[in-house]
Amino acid sequence: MADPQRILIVDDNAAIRMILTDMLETMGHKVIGEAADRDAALKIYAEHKPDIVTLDLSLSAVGGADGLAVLKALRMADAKAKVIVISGNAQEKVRVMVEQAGACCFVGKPIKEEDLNTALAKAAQS
Amino acid sequence: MNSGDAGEESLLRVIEEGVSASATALGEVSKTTWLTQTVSINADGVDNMRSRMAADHETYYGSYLSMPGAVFMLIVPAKRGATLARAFLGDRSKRPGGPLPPDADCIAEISNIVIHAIVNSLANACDEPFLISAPQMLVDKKPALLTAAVDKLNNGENYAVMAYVHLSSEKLSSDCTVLLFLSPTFHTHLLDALA
Repeated sequence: MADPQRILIVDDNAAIRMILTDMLETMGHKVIGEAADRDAALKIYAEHKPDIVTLDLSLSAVGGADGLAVLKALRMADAKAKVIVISGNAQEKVRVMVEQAGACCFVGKPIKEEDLNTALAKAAQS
Repeated sequence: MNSGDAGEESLLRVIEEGVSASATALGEVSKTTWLTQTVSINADGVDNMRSRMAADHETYYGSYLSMPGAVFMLIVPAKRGATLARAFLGDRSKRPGGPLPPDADCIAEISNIVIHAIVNSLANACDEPFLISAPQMLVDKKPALLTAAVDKLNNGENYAVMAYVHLSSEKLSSDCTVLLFLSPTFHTHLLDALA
């Protein structure tokens, strides 16, 4: 299991935020905040400087990858920001896009604890 | 068989692969087995389908995800929404603490996972990325949900193809329907990519 981390969850869906919080806290991590959109994510990140951010790729009904813009904004604010992208979009080309945008890991949905744990350990060491 | 028929068969096969992955994903999130009952592609018209749906007076959750040229919609009976939501949350729904997330949020996330499985299959077969929106949720009768989905797609062009998928779970006493609406341009693009 990865060392305890302080984590910010960015997802527009309350059910996923609840499930992720439960999974992360069961693993021994601390969820320092939840954000449903870009502005809230950047604000909480600036205030709390979490060790790791989990980020949904699709945050609105408008675009399919607006999470990428949030990822880039987080990395612009802090070049060392460690971001795990979580999405049902498991297409290989999308994973490459996500990595090129600066994410350290990708976790597919439905979220499996072992995948999340592996990603957290990789992020913590990056 | 002409090349058009072969293309449609290829498209149906890719959709079927995605549906199979959807059923698996649905089983993982709802902790039960889902069976695929129907997968079909037809172009007999939204109006005809809407007419057939008109006799159904039940209320449904309808969750839409879209991308340029395509709309994907998952429909589940509203009266089974709470059961599906509890299944999705698992033991978390029984724990004391804060309020549970709305059933609609759970259904939206289920639709996100199920529809992505189909979209991922199409994207991988075409070897290009397909990025779809986050889910939008409505609660209404089926004809109204269908109208909303078609309106979503209708950016100056009409739908060309609908794919109809029906899945059911005996344990949850529920079913769900996935509809795919493709514009003529996107439909042609898919057939070309799969050729």
